[in-house]
Amino acid sequence: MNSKNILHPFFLAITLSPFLNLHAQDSISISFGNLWARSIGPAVMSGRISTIDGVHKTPEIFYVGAANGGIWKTISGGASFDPVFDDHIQSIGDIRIDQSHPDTVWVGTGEPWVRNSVSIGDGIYLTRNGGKTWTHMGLGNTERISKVLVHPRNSAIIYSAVLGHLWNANEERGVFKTEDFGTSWQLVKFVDENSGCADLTMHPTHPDTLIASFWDHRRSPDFFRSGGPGSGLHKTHDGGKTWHEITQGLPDGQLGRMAVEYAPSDPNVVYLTVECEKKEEKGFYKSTDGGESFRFINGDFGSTVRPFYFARLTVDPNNSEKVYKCGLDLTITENGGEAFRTVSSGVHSDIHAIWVPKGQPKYVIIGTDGGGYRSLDGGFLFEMFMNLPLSQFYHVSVDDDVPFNVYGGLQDNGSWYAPSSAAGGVENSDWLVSNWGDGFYSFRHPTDPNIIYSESQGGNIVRHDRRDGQSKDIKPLPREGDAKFRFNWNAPIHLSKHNPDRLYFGAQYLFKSDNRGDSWQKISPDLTTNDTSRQRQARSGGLSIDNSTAENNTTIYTIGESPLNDRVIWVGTDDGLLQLTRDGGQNWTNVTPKIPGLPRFTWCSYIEPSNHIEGVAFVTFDGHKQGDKETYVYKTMDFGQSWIRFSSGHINGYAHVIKQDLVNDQLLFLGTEFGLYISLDGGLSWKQFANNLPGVAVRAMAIHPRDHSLVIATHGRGIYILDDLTPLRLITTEILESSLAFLDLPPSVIRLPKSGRPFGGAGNFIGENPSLSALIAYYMQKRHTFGKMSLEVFDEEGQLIKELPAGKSGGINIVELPLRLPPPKAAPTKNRMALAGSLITPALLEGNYQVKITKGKETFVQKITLAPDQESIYPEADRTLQQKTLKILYDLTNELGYIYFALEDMHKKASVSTVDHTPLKAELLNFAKEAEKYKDSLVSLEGDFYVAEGEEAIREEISHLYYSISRYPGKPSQQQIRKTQICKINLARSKDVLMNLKMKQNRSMKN
Amino acid sequence: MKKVLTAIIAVFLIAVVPTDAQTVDEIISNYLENTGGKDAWKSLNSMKMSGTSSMQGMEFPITIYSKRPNYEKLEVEVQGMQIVEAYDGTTAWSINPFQGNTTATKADEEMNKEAAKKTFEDELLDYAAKGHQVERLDDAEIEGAQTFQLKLTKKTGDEQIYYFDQENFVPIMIRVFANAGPMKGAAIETYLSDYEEVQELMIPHSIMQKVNGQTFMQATMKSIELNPEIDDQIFAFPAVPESTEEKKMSEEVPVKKEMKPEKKMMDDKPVLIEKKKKEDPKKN
Repeated sequence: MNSKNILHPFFLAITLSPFLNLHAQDSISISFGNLWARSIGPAVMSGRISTIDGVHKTPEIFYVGAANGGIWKTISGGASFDPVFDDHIQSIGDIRIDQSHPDTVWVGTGEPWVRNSVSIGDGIYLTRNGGKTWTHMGLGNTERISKVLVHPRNSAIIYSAVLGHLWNANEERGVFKTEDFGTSWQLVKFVDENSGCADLTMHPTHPDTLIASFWDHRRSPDFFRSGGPGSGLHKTHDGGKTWHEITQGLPDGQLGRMAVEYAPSDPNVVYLTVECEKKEEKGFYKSTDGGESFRFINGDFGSTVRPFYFARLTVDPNNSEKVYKCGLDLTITENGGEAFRTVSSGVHSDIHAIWVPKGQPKYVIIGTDGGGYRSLDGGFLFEMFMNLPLSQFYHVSVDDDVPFNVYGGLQDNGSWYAPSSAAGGVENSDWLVSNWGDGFYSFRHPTDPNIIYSESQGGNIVRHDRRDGQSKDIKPLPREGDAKFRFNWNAPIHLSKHNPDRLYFGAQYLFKSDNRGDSWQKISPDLTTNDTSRQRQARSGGLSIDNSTAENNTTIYTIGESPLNDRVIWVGTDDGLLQLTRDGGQNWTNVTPKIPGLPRFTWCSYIEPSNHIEGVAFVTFDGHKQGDKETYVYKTMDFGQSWIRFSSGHINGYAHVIKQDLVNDQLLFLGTEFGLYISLDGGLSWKQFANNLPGVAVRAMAIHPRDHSLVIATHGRGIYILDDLTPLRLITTEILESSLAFLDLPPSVIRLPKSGRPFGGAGNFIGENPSLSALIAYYMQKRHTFGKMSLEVFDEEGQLIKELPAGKSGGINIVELPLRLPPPKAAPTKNRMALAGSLITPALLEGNYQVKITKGKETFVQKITLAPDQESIYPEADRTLQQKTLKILYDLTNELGYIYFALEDMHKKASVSTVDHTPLKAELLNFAKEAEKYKDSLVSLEGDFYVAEGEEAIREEISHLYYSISRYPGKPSQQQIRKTQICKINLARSKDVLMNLKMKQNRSMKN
Repeated sequence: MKKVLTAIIAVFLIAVVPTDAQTVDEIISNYLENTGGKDAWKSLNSMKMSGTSSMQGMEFPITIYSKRPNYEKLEVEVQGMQIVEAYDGTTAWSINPFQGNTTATKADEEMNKEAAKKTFEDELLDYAAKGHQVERLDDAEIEGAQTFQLKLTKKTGDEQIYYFDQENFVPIMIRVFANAGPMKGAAIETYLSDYEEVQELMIPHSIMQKVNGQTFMQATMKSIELNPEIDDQIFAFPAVPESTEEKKMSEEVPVKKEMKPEKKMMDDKPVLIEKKKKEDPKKN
């Protein structure tokens, strides 16, 4: 600790700067202070939920674990949810409540539904206070925990089923057990480095008996294998000391992913789903001897579909014959698997989690690829939780509408768009669909507001017309003699900055269209390795073929046309190549060999040609699909001839995207699997931005050229917007050397609030709008803790307009200046609308203001400007008249307040007078009464603030008028203006009465 | 003044210890010493703070009275009307015309229970003797300052988390969790700054509250009085006025018969509902 900082508080303001060494280098690292990202959803299209657990005794309390969006807790049966895990890794494997201590909750991280886009976890966590605080309890290198079980009679004993690494072999997998609340873990069942524990179930009355299903599996960029020699079913009777393999009744040969579950109400009944070699043996099995042997029951579609994605069973704790099976649809059997019914009722496909509380068999909560649902009729009809913003974006773009719209595609959930702000906030109904399927890139045509380009998996690009909602398939098709086109699962669409009708699209070739996709020109040879050993999508899946295009490989994955020269185009491939043309596609150069320290075949995730210098480009690579979780971020300044790699010292997670700011070329934004990182010094140093943005995968970003907003597409928490990048753009080494320095923002536009749709109840997500206040920004070297610090705003005449609480953060401070005058000192009223009328105050007028910060003995001054809304539909003269009229009524309110309180004062003084001269005393009392009577006549203090309101007095007349005029920013009506004059005259009379009374008072007092 | 200075110099010596090695008790005792010393805190029996609070872009005068053991009263002046929130040791009550409570209204049982848990004395003072536990969590950056994070678990099981600035050991943020009402479960964060000496104690004059991360209230105290005389009566839930006492009501207008007794107000304090007579303003 720097001893110089431990001075008397009054001297703290002048202590030495920790940034003094900045002179020596250019590294800039700051606190982002209260710079803040806001979430706009969507939640109407939610995202993948991987697990759910609730409290049996109080089933209105449950936790939802998301694939990549953290943990959400409700205590109201879903009416509202709070995110309770935002400081930790966002991919959730399993949640397990210790039902005997419901505030004790274990969380195994790392989603076990291992699709191509799955994220990773970092071990197991424990809360003992219902999610308020969490402690990491080890198993850090497990990546995926599929199940956690708590011993029902000894809370210190926990079993953790570790699925382990997906993309490579690892030893830290199998069944782990702790007997000391997670302080130490013992691996009690290990099979091999390729096989993890996919499911684990505990005997309902004999908790030392458990059955574990092991799964041998592996993913690579181009292939998925489910099943192998390591798969199998293992059972222990002694809490994991010894295990025996269960084979009786199970198919011969290799096994795949299996779900296994005891019926809580009958320990003899165990259910199992089996993935195996022979089609006729795949399906739903049942044991009636406590899991020693099994019998095939059913091989229908629901029992066999995609085991890697759906191998999970929930047995109704109240009924051993009722089983819920996860699947493409939710299927339910009420007779132990003999027959299943399929739930439709508008529930999203791909069910991963089901919870049914003990004692309430009709209450069912499910989690799907598209969010959470609740049934109160035992699983027939479901209603959706419209308040879980878990959407998983792959990409994002913006248009130039006012406010601008945001476009993007979601895992399994189509392509959506919404305004970046809306009346009352960005609500569920503000989000609209442009295409279905899995969604990826989505753009609006740069000049034609009706056209949206979107796509679904495997290169199915469409051109959507908003006028009639129809879409044209514009996918490039091979000509005679062409090789088959290979499109990535997430194939890149790129819009040209140089021609509004031009777009690029990538298979193994780069295509260009100058007519909105009606025809395509191939402008490159095969830019991939074209390694045929990596082209095995049709055989992918292992024991269950899973040919979904998810493993399409040797394809183009990212395209970047230089914003400065349309002949310079970069292309990155999923098999590790980076290619460049400088002549619009005539000649291509593979620049990959020039990139230092990049392992072969590392997926090129994003290319960002600089907006500032033609030869500069930034590129990210992502090796996690070959088991390499390093961060690879590079920059070239010479068209790829040489590269520097940015140090990944402060960066966590494999890299998805990098963006260079449009204004400040040193300002860079990097999205990794674990969050957003910002560099203010061209990539020398990085700091995570976590102000209201959890450490969720940031897959894509867009910078709005007009509004200077950073739009952040997360894969699990929807869209976030950092509204104004200006403060970040203005940070320089000079600024960092001052104890406090203003950051000069563009003029704040005076905008009017609009009302939303308020009566939707608690269950609807509403995304925050940008602030309507004027913003004042400054940098402060250290947090202000000791001594006074104030912020005052003066008008151009030097008159104090407002005093605001100053921001105290070290780093960037944003203070909101409400664009309204302070409320007048009004007389009381018990009329509701009149009170509202005197709370709404006139808007600050456009023009210049001065901001003064006083921090201890120092003062800092800055000019700010309020600008009129250029979009306003009201002529300036009308707006001015409205403002003038309001100002008159505002002043009248103040004057009336003065009169009222003066009378009150008179009344008090007269009535407490100690004069004992009887006639004089009587006179004084009379006077007191008169003052009071007049005072009371000015206001209406009758009633209940609602319907039993008294008759209006002048106080209410002024405020009502004020309220009605203030609600419309244009010209007030003739009547309103006339009434204003009447109020003015009446108030003048009141003033006279006050003067008369004052004279009387003076006379009485003199006597 | 001198005492604080001495205390801080003393802490200066202690604080040379690397931050990692700070124990819970060292952090707390540094905090208490740095802000005036345990004895000074112990001899604080009542407090009156007044200043300005801003909510939703508007500013209002605010006064807070508090007194041992757990009396508290908050008054906010809004356009001649008063919002009151108070606890008198047994009853939490409020007046809030904006929520339709124009007369003193008792809080529901759950909220009342919560109010009863708050104490005038700093919970960290002799926390062990009070049956509380404190645990140090990972250090955290709060508003650009490095902080020690201490979790206090009260005897009642309630938790609050303190963030002490590592440079000077004063709390700059306290996080609690709402235990009742529609916000139940929500994190309420109170940010403290503008610490200034008031007699012997260092007291934050600027308070900002965030609920679930969004700024909800900011208050700047213009004056803080230590150990003022405060009559217990001002905290008390207003009793039903005796009918004979009502001087004005009897004169011109009959008391509204339908009014429930608990909705009536005394006419001393608060001021907002004192007149029951009806006057026609147009007569004047």
